[in-house]
Amino acid sequence: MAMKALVVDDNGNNLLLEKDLLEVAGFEVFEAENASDGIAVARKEKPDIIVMDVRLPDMLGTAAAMILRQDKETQDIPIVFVTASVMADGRAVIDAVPNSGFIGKPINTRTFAKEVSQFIR
Amino acid sequence: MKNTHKFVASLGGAFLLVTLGVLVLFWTFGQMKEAAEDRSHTKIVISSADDLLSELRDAETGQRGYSLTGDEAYLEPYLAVRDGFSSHLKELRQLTLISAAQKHLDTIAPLIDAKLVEMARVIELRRNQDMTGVLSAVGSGQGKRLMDSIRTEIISFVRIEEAELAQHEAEFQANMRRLFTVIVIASLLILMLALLFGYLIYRETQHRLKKLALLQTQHLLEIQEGTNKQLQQANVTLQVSEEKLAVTLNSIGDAVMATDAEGHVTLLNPLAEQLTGWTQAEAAGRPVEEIFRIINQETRQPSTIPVKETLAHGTIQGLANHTLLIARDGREYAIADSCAPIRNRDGEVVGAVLVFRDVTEQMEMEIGLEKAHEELKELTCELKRAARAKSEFLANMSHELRTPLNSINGFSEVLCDETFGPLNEKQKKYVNNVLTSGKHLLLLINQILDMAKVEAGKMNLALSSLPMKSLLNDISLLVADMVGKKELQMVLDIAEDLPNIEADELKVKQIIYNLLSNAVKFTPEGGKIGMGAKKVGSGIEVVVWDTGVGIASENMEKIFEGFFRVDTPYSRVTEGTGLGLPLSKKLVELHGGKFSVESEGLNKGASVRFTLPVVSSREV
Repeated sequence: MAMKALVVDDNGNNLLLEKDLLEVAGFEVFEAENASDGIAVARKEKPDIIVMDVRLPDMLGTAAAMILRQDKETQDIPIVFVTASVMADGRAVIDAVPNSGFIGKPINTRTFAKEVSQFIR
Repeated sequence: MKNTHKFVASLGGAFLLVTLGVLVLFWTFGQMKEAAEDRSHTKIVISSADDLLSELRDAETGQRGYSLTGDEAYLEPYLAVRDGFSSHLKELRQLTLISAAQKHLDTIAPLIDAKLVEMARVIELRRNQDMTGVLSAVGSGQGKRLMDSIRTEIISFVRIEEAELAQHEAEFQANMRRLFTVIVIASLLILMLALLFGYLIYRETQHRLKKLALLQTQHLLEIQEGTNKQLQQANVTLQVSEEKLAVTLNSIGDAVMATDAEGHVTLLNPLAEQLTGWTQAEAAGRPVEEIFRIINQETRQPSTIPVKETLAHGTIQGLANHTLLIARDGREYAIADSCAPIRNRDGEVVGAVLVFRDVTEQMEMEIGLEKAHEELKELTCELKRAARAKSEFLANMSHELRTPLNSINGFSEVLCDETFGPLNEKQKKYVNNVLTSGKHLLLLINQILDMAKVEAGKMNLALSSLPMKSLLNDISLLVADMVGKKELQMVLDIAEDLPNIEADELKVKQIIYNLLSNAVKFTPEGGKIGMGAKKVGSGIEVVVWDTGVGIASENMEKIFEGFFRVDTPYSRVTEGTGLGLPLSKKLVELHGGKFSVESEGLNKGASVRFTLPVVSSREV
C-alpha cells in the first residue's frame, strides 16, 4: 500500500509541482490550500507525512502543526515545512515543532521526494 | 636761643645791680656803725668827764664831811679820787680825740692836782685837830675857786665833746637816711628784678609751654597724620573691597537681594533691579514682600517668601518650582531662587540674602528639550520601525520572489528531466534556457538578500571547525567542469600544514566558489587560474589568481560597489551578478579577515587575496 502524503500550499503551482514529484515517487497525495483544510484532511486521512508551507492564508503552517501535535490522532505525523522564507528567525519557530523537517524553496525537483521520505520513520 | 641770651644778660645785669646795692648797703652800714661807735665813744667821753666832775664833787663833799665830823668814813670818795684820778684822767685823755678838748684836759690836770693838794692840807689840818686852820683854809675860798675852774674846764670839755656828739648824731642820721634810701632803692630794684624775672620766667615758661604745646601738637599732628594715612589706607582697602563686592554683585549672573533682620530690603544688584523693576534707591527700606512679589505658576496664588522662614529659623530656603515673579510693571518671570541667612560674627541672624534668576528661557529650553527628546524618541521608534520594516520587506521580498521561482525552476527541471514524457531538442533547449535564467535570478535574489543582511548587521555566522585543506580541494572540484570546458589550467598550491579554522562553512564555501568561478569567467580559453593557501600569523591566507582580463586601475574602486562587471569578450553579461566580489569581501570582513584585489591592469590578470583568522571573532 502506497504512503500517504498531505501537501498544504496556498500557491497552486507549487502545490501541483510538489504533488507531481511525490506522486512520481509513489506517494498517494492529498492536497489542501489552507491550514484549516490541511488540519481537517490530516485528521481524516491520517497521512504518513505532511508537506506544509509556512505562510498560509488563515494561519502559519507552524501554528497548524502545533494544533496537529495536540491531537492524539495526528501528533505523531512527521511534518516537513517547505518555505521560501529563509530568514534565520523563522527557523527557530520551525525547529520548535517536534518531529518536523525543513526544505527551502526553490526545491530541488530531483531530490525532493527523497528528502521528504527521509522524515518518515 | 636769642631769648636765652637776653635772659642771661638780664640775669647778669640784675646780679651786678644787686651786688652793687648790697655793697652800697654794706658801705652805708659800715658808715653807720662807725658813726654809732663815734657817738657812743663821745658819749663815754662825756660820761667819763661827768664822772670825773662828780667824783671830784663827792671827794669835796667827803672832805667837808670829815672836816666837820672827823669821821674817817667820809674820806673814802676823796681817797678813791686821790688814787684813781691820774689814771682816770689818763684814760680820758686817751679817749679824747679832739685836740681842742685835749687842751682843756691839759688845763684841768694841774687844777685837779691843786685841788687835791688843797684838800689834803685841810684833811691834814683836821687830823691834827687844828680846827682853826681848817676854818681858815676853808674860809680862804681857795678850794672853791679851784673847784669852779675845774667845773668850767670840764663843762667846756663836755661842750666840745657834745658838739662832736651832735656832729656824729647828724652823720648817723644822714647815714640812716642814706641806708633807708639804699634799702628802698635796693628793694625797688629787687622788686623790679623779681618782677622782671617773674615776667621773663613767665615769658620763658609761656614760650616753653608754647614750644612744648607746639611739639606736642606736632607730635599729635604726626600721629594724626599717621592715623589719617592708616585711615586713608583702610578707606582705600575698604573702597577696593567694596568696589570688588560691588563689581562681584554687579557681575553675578543671578539677581541678589538682601534684607535686614526685619525683612526690609537693603540691597539690590542690577539684575535684581532689572527683574523686580525697582531700583536700589527706591526699594531700600521697604518690606521685601513689596519688592519681591511671587505667585505660584499654576494656582496664581501668592507664594510664601522664603525670607521670613530664613529670618525666623536661620535656615537656607529653596523656592518651590513653578514660581513667577511679578515685576513692578506687571511683567512676569519664571524664577528659581534660594534664600540664606546673613549672620554676624556672633552667629546671630541679622538679615537674609535672596538669590534668584530668570528661568523663563531655561524653562522654555527645558520644554524645547523635552519636545526634542520626544521627537528623538519618536524618530528612534520610527527608525526602529523602518529597520523592522526593511528586514520585514527583505523577508517578504525574498519569500515572494522565491515562491514563483520555485515553480518556474521546479517545472523547468521536471520538463528538462522529461519526467512526464520526452521533449524534442528545441523544446528541451528552451526549457533549459528558462531553468538557467531562473537559477540566475535565484542567485541574484540570494546575493542581494545576503548583502542586505550584512549591511543590516543581521548576517550571523554559524561557526564550526573547518578542515580547510579538504574544503579548498572540494570547491576546486566544483569548478573543474567549467575549467575543463574552457581548457584552462588550474594550479593549486595548498600548504601541507594548513590548519583548520573556526568559521561559517557555508559562507567560506560561498567566498571561495565566488572567487574561483570569477577567475574562470574572466580568463580566456587556454589561460591559467590558480589557488594558493598557507598559514600566516594567527590565520590563513588564500589567494585566487588568474591570467585573465584583469582590472583597469580606474575601475579598482568600482568593483566593490555592486553590480559592476568588467566587460569582456570572453564572458556573457548574464554570467555574473556583479555582487560576488563585494559580497565575498563583506563575508571575509565579517569573519575578521582582510580582503584585497590586485591587478597589473587590463588583460594582465588579477589576484584576490584574503585572510581568515584561525578563530573568528564573531560568535553565532
